[in-house]
Amino acid sequence: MSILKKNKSGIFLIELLFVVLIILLSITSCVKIFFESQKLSEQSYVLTNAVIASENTAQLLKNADGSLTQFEEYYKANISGNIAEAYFNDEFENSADESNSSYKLRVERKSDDSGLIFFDIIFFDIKADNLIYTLKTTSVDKKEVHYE
Amino acid sequence: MSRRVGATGLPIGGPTLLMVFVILCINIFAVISYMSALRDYNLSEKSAEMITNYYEADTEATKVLLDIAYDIKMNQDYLNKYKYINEFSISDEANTLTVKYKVPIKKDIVLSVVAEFPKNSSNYRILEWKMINNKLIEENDSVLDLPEF
Repeated sequence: MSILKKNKSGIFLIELLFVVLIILLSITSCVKIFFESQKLSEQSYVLTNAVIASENTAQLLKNADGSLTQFEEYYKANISGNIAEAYFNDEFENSADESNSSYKLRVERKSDDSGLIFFDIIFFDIKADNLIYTLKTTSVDKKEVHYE
Repeated sequence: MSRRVGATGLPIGGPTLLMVFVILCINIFAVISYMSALRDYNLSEKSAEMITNYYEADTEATKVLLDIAYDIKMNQDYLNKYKYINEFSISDEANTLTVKYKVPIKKDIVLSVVAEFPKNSSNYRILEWKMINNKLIEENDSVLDLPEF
């Protein structure tokens, strides 16, 4: 009777060990998938916010007839010549200095003889030194355009 | 607890069944979470692509508008010059030239522009600058059949 009980406990233990091993292996692969999901979610959050900030900038530039002043006021941007830069923290809140920032929005202004002003809006990840999104837009220079 | 030993010699009992259930649950949740994140990312990318395309079309439309304004001002041949543009038309009515054209944004989506140029003025007036989905209108006419009251 005691030999039978010992055998049963042994088989149960082997099964338990086998189960724990397989669950551990499965959890390892699942944690990997969860981390990948987390990474993708973060990437999509960053891209969405980068697109929103870039589009806002494009509209500000269009509304100001190509001037960088509205962009400067709205995003507390630094302007040097035809280049303006604004900074954002991890939560995509606008920040005045580069040291506490994670992202940078750069606007490059070029003009030609036709009366058009061209803008390159570039959104960088400062920490990863990575380009996230670029948008090209134009604005008409000092033309009286009436929208209805 | 009853315990069966299969052909492989491995014991199959409660813990094994529990393990199968737990592994299935964890895997299903992991896959659902990954698919949801991937769908969000794809949506973000599509949205970004759409906005990029819109601003490219906007730039093109602005360039064309300025060219037409210049040609009209300088009395140059603007009737044949812009035939390459999608659905380009100019109508001359009561001292006002009305220009209509469309710039493609993406498949089936166009930026429709209508502008008028008064002959006695160097300015122009934009009457329409909007995104139109051609597919929706062509394939389902009933969408626009609104009841009249």
